[in-house]
Amino acid sequence: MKPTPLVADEMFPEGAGRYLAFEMVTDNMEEIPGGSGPIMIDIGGDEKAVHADFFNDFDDLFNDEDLE
Amino acid sequence: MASALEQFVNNVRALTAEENFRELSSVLTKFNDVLKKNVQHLDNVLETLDLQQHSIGILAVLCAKFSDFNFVSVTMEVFKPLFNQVQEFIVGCNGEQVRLVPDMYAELCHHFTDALVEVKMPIRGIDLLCRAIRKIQLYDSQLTSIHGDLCKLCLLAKCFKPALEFLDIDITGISTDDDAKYFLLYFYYGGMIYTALKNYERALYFFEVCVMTPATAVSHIMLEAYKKYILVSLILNGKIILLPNYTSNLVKRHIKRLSIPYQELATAYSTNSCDDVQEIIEKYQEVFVRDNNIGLVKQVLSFLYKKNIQRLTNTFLTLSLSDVAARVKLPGPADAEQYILNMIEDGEIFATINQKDGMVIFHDDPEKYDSPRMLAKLEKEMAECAELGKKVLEMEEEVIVTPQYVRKACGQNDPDDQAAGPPPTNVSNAQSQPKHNTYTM
Repeated sequence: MKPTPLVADEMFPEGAGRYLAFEMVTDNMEEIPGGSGPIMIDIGGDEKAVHADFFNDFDDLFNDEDLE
Repeated sequence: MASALEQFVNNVRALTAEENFRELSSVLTKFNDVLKKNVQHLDNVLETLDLQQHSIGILAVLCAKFSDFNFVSVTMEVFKPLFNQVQEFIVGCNGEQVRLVPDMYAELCHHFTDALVEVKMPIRGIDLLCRAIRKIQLYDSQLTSIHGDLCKLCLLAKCFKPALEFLDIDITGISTDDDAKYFLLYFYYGGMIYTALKNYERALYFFEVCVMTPATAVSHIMLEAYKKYILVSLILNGKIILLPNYTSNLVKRHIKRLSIPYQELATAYSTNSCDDVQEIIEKYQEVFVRDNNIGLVKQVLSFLYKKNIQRLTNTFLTLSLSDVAARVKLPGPADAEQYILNMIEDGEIFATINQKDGMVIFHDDPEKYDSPRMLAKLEKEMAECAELGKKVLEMEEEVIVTPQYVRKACGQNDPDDQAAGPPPTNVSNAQSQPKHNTYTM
């Protein structure tokens, strides 16, 4: 199991107290199960991209502010 | 009527009478150009054909009519006659016949959808596309390329219920007409519908399926799905859930690079600092607005406020509203009160607010997991899991007896793979199964 790193939390300036469950804050987005190496690489010029013209012209359907 | 068209009608009638539909399909391909060149006479052709008997012939004629249809700046008034013909066809056509030409049937539905989008009347097509899907499906859990069209119209009309009838059924098979683009669109649009309805768990699943679909090129549909996957993942889990390891390497390599603002948002979220998240939102405001994701991004921030309020319940038994506001960086006690009330209503925290002194008292979760209701819920979920397990085994058995799989499992690279027939229709990635023996499952 990975050790849980402690983070300075501005919400609790007096300290965490023993009951606060700290969250994992490591950014493990770069980990790929079964893979290795960094993600941020350049796309080669010969890489294909498809479906550029697909229909995605909807209004913002997720705006809660217009419900209020 | 031009003689070539007479020939078309004669062929349709004769081959239909002989029930030689395979031959009819190939004949129709040859007449495709003839139909397109004589669009002005096609209404006369339709009058000579019977809807039930000559469904395939009529389908070819309607597709040809769409090929001549000018979609630019078209009005409903102009589209109405063709709309009526398509409606009459879908309602009255012979399902057995059109199932023999799924590509053409799907093409008609795609054209029909595009026209309704253009005339800005998406709601008019929803019921009809539901019927169109039911007509061509062999079983309820079969995905067709028309599913994506239905979801598109439902999103445009902001009328989601008809699509849920299909989205709530887990897909176990894919119709042979299915172009990968429509498969991806179904899961992308479906994810959007679930997100709009705040069913984030199901939405995340739909976006995940879209992103992890085997691919040899980067699809823009996948990229947009991944952006929403990140946002829904933050709302649901507070972090980006890693994509399954069977996601194609090409996709894994590129979509992260192409969604940097979203990655930065996730990084800011992981610090639990609403100010940091707000900063990223302001920094990439333009991108989020352009992607039509700004509403969802704001929901992410709102969920971080909620998450931080929830974290307070781990430490404090009572707290004043102004203290809550100060700690989670809300503008004032009134905002904190609103957040807490919403969270109580949604069962996310258990608390009471004393209006007199502005104090919040946090309680423990009253659920003791010993009620008949909880037992019934548990039993229902166990039954669903058992059913899923059974289904997976059935599909597994279907895959392992296919010649392609057996050859690949034995490590043989047979050039005749293509000649061995198509893989089972309910397993889209049968060929990408790993070589290890799965018989032991």
